Amino acid sequence: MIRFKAFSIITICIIMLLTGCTSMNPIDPRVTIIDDHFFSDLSITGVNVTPHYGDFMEVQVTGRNNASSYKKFEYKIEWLDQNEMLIPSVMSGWTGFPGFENSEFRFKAVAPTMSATDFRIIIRREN
Amino acid sequence: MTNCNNGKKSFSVIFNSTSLRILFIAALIFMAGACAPATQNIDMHNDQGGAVMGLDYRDFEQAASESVSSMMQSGALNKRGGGRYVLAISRIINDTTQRIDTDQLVKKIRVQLLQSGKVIVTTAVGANGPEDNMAMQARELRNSDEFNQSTVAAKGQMIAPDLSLSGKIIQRIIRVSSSLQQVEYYFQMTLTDINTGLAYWEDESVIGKRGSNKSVPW
Repeated sequence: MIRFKAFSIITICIIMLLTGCTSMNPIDPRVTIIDDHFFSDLSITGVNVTPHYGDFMEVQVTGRNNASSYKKFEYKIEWLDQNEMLIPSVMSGWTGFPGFENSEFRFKAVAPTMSATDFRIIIRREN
Repeated sequence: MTNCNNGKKSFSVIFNSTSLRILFIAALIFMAGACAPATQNIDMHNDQGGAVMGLDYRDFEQAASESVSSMMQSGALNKRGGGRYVLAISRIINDTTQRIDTDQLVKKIRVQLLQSGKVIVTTAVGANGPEDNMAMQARELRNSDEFNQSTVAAKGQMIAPDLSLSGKIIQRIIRVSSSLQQVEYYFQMTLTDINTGLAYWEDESVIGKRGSNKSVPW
C-alpha cells in the first residue's frame, strides 16, 4: 500500500513537471505559454480579437504577472490565412512587453495583411 | 668536457634546424587557432546573443515592426474609396555616429507595407532621385528605330505618389558614471500626404542601451 502511494505521488509529480514546461491556455488555445519554471508566474486572462473583414485583424492579449517582482516577457505571433498557411512577416519576431509585479498586462498585435484570418501566439519569459 | 661541448653543439644544431623552426611556428599557429572562438551561424528566429552598444539587426527589426504596426493601427493607410496608396520614399537621415545604410530600416518597412496590400511603392521618384533609373532610361528608346515602338513605355503611364515616407535616426550618448554610458536611439518616421503636405501619421520608436564606457557605439 505504501509502495503504491509512493508510486502515485512520483507519477503525479512527473506529470506536473512535464505540463509545467508548456501550457496550452484554457482561455484561448491559440495562445501558448512556454515556461521552463515549475510554478509559472504568468497567466492569460483574456484574448480579444477584432473583426477582420475589410481591414487588418487585431488581437489583444490580457494576462497577469502573479510574481511579486517585475518580469519581462516576450511574445511571438504567427499569422495564418484562411487555409491555415503561414504569412511571413517582419512583425512576427519576438517582441518584449513588461509584466509589473502582481499586475495585469496587455499587448496588442495587428495582422500584416488583410488575408490573415487566424493566429498562434507563444509567450515566454525574456532571458 | 669534450662530450658536454659536443652535446651543446648538437642541441644548437637541432634547435637551429629549419624543420624545428617550422614545427614551432606551426604549433603556435595551431594553439592560436584553438583559442579563437568557433564561427557560428546566428539563429535569427531565437537569437540569445547579448545586446551590443551599436545598432544590430534586432534593433532594426524592432523599430520597423513597431513603425508598421503603428501605421496599420492608425488607419492612415486606408484610402478613401478603396485601392492602394502610391508611396515615395523620401529622405531618411542618419544622425548617429554609426555608418548606417538606412535601407536596413526602410526596406523592412517597405516590404511589410507592400505585403499589407494597402500601399505600393514607386521607385521612379525619390528624395535623392529615382531609386531605379531604368523607368526613365527605357523611355529614351522612343527615338530608337531598333525597338518595336509598341513595346516601349507610352507617355503618361507613370503614377505619381500620394504619400511620402521620411524619417530620422537620432543617437544620444549620456555618461552615467565613470565606467557606464547610456546610448539612446530614436527612430522617427513621418508619412506625409503629398497633395496637402499634411502628416497623416507619425511615430517614434526608442531603443536604449546601457553598457561599458569602453564600448564605442559605431
